[in-house]
Amino acid sequence: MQVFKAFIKISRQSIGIILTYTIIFIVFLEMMSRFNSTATASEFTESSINIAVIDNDNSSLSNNLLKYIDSKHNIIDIDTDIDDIRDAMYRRSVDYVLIIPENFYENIIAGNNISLESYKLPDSVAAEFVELQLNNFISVYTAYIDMLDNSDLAYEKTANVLKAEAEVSVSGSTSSDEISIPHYFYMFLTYILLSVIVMCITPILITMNTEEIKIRTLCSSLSSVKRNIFIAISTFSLGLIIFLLFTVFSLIRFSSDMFSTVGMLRILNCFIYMIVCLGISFSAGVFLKNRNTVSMLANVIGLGSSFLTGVFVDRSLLAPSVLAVGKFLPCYWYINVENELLRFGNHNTRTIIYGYGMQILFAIVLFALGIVFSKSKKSE
Amino acid sequence: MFFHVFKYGLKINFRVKEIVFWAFIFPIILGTCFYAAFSSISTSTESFNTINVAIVLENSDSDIYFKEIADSLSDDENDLPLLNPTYCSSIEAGQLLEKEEVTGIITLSGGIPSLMISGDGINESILKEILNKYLQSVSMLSDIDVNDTASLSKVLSAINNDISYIKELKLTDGNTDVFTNYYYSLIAMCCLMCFSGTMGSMSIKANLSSVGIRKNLSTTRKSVIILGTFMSSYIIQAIASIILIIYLNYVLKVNLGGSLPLITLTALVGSFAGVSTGTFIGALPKLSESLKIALNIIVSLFSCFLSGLMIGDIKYIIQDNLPLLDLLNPAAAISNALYSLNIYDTYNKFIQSISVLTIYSIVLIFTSYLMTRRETYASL
Repeated sequence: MQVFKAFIKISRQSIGIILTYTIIFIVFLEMMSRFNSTATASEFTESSINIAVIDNDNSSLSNNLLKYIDSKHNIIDIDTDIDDIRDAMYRRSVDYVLIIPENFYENIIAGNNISLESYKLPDSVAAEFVELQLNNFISVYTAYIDMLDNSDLAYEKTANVLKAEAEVSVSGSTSSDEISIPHYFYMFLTYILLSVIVMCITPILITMNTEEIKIRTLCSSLSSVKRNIFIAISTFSLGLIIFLLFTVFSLIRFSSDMFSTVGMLRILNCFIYMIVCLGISFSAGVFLKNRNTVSMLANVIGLGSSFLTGVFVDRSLLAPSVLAVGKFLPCYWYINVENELLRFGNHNTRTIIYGYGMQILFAIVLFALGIVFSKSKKSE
Repeated sequence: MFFHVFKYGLKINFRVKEIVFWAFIFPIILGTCFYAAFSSISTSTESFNTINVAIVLENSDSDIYFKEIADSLSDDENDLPLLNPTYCSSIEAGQLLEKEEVTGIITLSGGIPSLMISGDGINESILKEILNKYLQSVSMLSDIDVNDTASLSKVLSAINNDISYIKELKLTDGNTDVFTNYYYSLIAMCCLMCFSGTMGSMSIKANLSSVGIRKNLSTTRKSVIILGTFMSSYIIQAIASIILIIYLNYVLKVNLGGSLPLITLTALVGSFAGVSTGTFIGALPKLSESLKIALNIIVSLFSCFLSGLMIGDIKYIIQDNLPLLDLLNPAAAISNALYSLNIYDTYNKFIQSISVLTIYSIVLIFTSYLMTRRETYASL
């Protein structure tokens, strides 16, 4: 009991860390929920991009072209200064800049070479898309101008022809792309849980393992086994408190999503990951001698595993080599389960069980490493 | 005596693990994480890649026309072809779509093509646009008198025309990848997170350490001690930022844009601002050592947060709504200087950012000097 009390007393120093991380996490989560409130559409919506148009011609044709672009995309006002264009394109507030040169209309009527000008990002797919439409508009319009010799009628015909659109259906067999906020919560929780547990528990274990304190406890009436059991219980209790803090928050904040099979499987996944984090803390507590190095370790492991396994950036955007490295981290298997739960109903139960199993194996290895090193230190 | 203070300042800085980790190792780890996570995002989300599509033909005459169009779009000697078609049965096509091996399925029925996709996206919109063009061509042909050969040839030339009417203008020679901004903020963080400056400045304070008391009692002029300590911190910070730039540029091969000597100059001026900030915080009277360290972290990280280290768009929100804050924020000034070297042809904005950093540093150094010189203590 004395060991447990001492453990809890030292852990009080960590309240600041827990609070700081919790507040940052919640603020970040709320920001994410605002940016990512997407819903699955059963109907196809054509992409529309941000286009800035600099109309130096100001003719009826250029106005009609503008009208056509406006019906398909978002027209953005922009200064004509090249640095402003560069700024807008770099920050992606504009995807494409179209410049309609002077005498554009006269050149079309006269059958001269027509050339619009554009600024686009290198190899831009958005530019490819919009240029497909613009070239199509001009081909059709020039064909009608050639045939009819009347610009208004040519535009009318062009507009009619361009109304013909293909039928598009959305396949029902594929999984939903809807990203729920509880999913984000449990994704980012890996980073927070790991940081908080390592930064709270490892310094206590380092203190407990300090030569003088360890020897003092061992020469007391308390047996070595009992001391270790109490340390294990205390470590687990503190880990459980941190785990419950976030889990209860998620149950209150996302009650409708969490009180379900998916919610319970998520909590189970998180519980197993918490044990992995305790394993990391335990090993670190044995390996490290200086409390100041704990924050370095927490940052390196936390940020490293989050970036390499698809916590901060969606896995579909990561290079295969990065994911291959990520497989050697427990977080990878946690995220595997979390991603599988996202398509619950159409999920693969094996992936979920495999993910749980891999995390438990990682935890066993981490605890075993800590015990082996601790034994070798003792024999010294 | 200056050299003596400088030499021992350097020795201390290189031996404090926290300084070595946060100045040298942490930025490199974070840079590697950024590289792992961001290096392929732009290529996979913004760049154009040939679209894989499954085509289900109906064994009729219309197959030939449509196949001809699809084949012409999949054969581009100079550029990436638009399409990569796979002709297959509807069952096979469904399987390919489910496995996400194709973007969509084009099915011909009664000569009319329709599209099945699994969700919204720009590639899906391009597929739709190709089908639109086909249907629009059919509509044009049905609109004219087939005996009017002149009109027929004009319409056919418009249909078969794959000339681009749009000429691309050069946007910039720099790197337009939006993720370069994260590397700029990382360099800013490396320059500004200056524990050596704070620790150096605190070592002169007699109320914070016994070394401080000794330094205050010595006959060496305060200005020499301050200058020697400042320069030793600056050298550490400058080396750390140069190593980071070398690592990003030569090891990770990140295209930072702009000329390397000017990027290095920015890092050197930025490090000067970082050490000035650290020195200023260390020189603040009546604050404990731990509070000063915490203040250093908060100031540098908050400054970097506003320049887009954690969320890239924050920088633009600040630029649009609080331009004065963006101008005076040292991390934003470093990031803006690097950005202007990358994107602009002129050096006006670069000079402006460098001037802001220099003035900021001089003001802080002067204030720190005033706070440190001739300081007297009633009781120690």
